[in-house]
Amino acid sequence: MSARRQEGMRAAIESAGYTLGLLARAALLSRSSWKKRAEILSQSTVCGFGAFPVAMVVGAFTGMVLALQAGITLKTWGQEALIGVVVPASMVREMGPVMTAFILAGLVGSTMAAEIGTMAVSEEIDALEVMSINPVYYLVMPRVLALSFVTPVLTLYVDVVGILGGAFVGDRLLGLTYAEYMRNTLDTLDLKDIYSGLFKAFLFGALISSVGCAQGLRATGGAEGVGRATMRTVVICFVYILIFDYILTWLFYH
Amino acid sequence: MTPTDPVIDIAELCKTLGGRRVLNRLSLQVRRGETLAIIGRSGTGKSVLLKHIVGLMKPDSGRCSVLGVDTATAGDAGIGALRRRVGYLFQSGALLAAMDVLENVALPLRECESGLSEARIRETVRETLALVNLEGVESRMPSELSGGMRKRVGLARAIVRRPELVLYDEPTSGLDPIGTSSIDDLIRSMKSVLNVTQVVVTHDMASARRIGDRIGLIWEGRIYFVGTPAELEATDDPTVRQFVGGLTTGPMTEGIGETQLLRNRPRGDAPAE
Ligand SMILES: Nc1ncnc2c1ncn2[C@@H]1O[C@H](COP(=O)(O)OP(=O)(O)OP(=O)(O)O)[C@@H](O)[C@H]1O
Ligand SMILES: [Mg+2]
Repeated sequence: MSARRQEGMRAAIESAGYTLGLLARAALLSRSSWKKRAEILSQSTVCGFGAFPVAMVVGAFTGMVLALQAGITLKTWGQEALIGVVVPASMVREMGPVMTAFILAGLVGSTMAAEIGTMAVSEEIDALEVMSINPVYYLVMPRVLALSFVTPVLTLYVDVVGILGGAFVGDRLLGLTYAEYMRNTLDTLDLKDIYSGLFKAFLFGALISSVGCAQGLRATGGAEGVGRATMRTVVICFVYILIFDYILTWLFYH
Repeated sequence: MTPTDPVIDIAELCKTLGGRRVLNRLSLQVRRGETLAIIGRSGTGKSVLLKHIVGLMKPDSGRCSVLGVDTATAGDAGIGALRRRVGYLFQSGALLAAMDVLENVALPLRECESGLSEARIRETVRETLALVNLEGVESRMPSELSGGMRKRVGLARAIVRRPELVLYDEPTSGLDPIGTSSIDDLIRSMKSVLNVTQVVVTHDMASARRIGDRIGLIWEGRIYFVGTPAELEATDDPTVRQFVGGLTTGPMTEGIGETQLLRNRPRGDAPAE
């Protein structure tokens, strides 16, 4: 391995360590989250409501594409009714949490990095520390809690919209009635699919917010540095989401 | 620590930043109740020195003990306890852009002194803002203030907890002459009324003379000279004389002086090498 690649590898591991450490610190500080309830609530509304319109479009088209792809294949065997099984299962277990996480990484994670990064480069974080206010308690913990709880809620919404999108394609293109589709859905979807998906979403929310906060806290070098932190947040979130998605799926279904 | 121990005791402090030795075996002691003015050219490490005193930066080597706490070795709890007794005015003001003036100044009271009533907090904030000659700006956002006003809000935030030690990073830069004098008066009255210890970084020689019990000159990474204003006037050290007199030629500008400017001039009759 070349020296430069080794250097990059070390930096990536160090950054992951810092991010997970930050998440752990925020989790410990959440014992005193009651005092920050107003901030947590306002963070939740900001990241929740901002994402709703995009989540609807993404959810609907994800469900529709899944139905179309599965439908085309299944139709050759005359089994197109099975999309009522395939689409909801893929949505709830996999696409719902992951798509929601992608949306939130781009929308909320990057905003957190920009906000906190701007504070870091204009010495506001130093100012908090000098006033003996812990920035992890003051800035990171409310954001991590807010996004950890908003992500499952938004995921549930994306799941529902996606399932309906699948039903719509089934009805329009595959000659499947809504009733048939829904019967298949309700027959096969079990509770474990739903809660495993929501647990994934919870963890993605925690990851996205801690990546955004970590990148923001460590931003240096003025406006340009803030831009870099924002961009890195999105890339790192995408990578973490997919890696953790694999690990969690493996844990749940083995 | 006993009352006669120095409030700030720095010995042989070294700090390298961005590959450059910014502080080089700097030693400094500040006594209780004293106001020390620190002067020096831009980029010589005055802000870096203040950041070491509140533990925002850690020394590479050497000792930095403040109010009996060694900032290099103290844990989070120790540093936190120290910072509750210290006020710090950032060179940039460093107000939180997301909240208004009232919330900015109230922040140290709200987050750290539990049990203060809302009315008490508002009253304290109003009083402190009046001390820095700001009235009726409580509901404005930092972005709606002038540079000098932001500085004064930062100053109010630094002293709102009535700390024992206050560090000011250029409290008067960006202020008009009247504003400068009134901040100088404020710093002097802080000393006589509250008996605080103060370190004031400034570019303004007149201010330094007015407020400083002693004046320290930073040069080449250490305290090159420290003494009373009278001693500063009396010394005939050429480096000190150059800074105090604001001369373009002298030891501080050696190598980048007039001669080099002339030599680099495209046209002219400088002798050929
Ligand atoms: N975080 C940092 N990383 C790298 N270099 C730094 C950092 N902070 C300060 N420096 C460098 O240290 C030197 C001293 O900086 P400092 O801000 O203390 O100067 P100063 O004396 O306060 O100047 P001024 O009067 O202009 O405020 C400068 O050369 C600066 O480039
Ligand atoms: Mg400075």
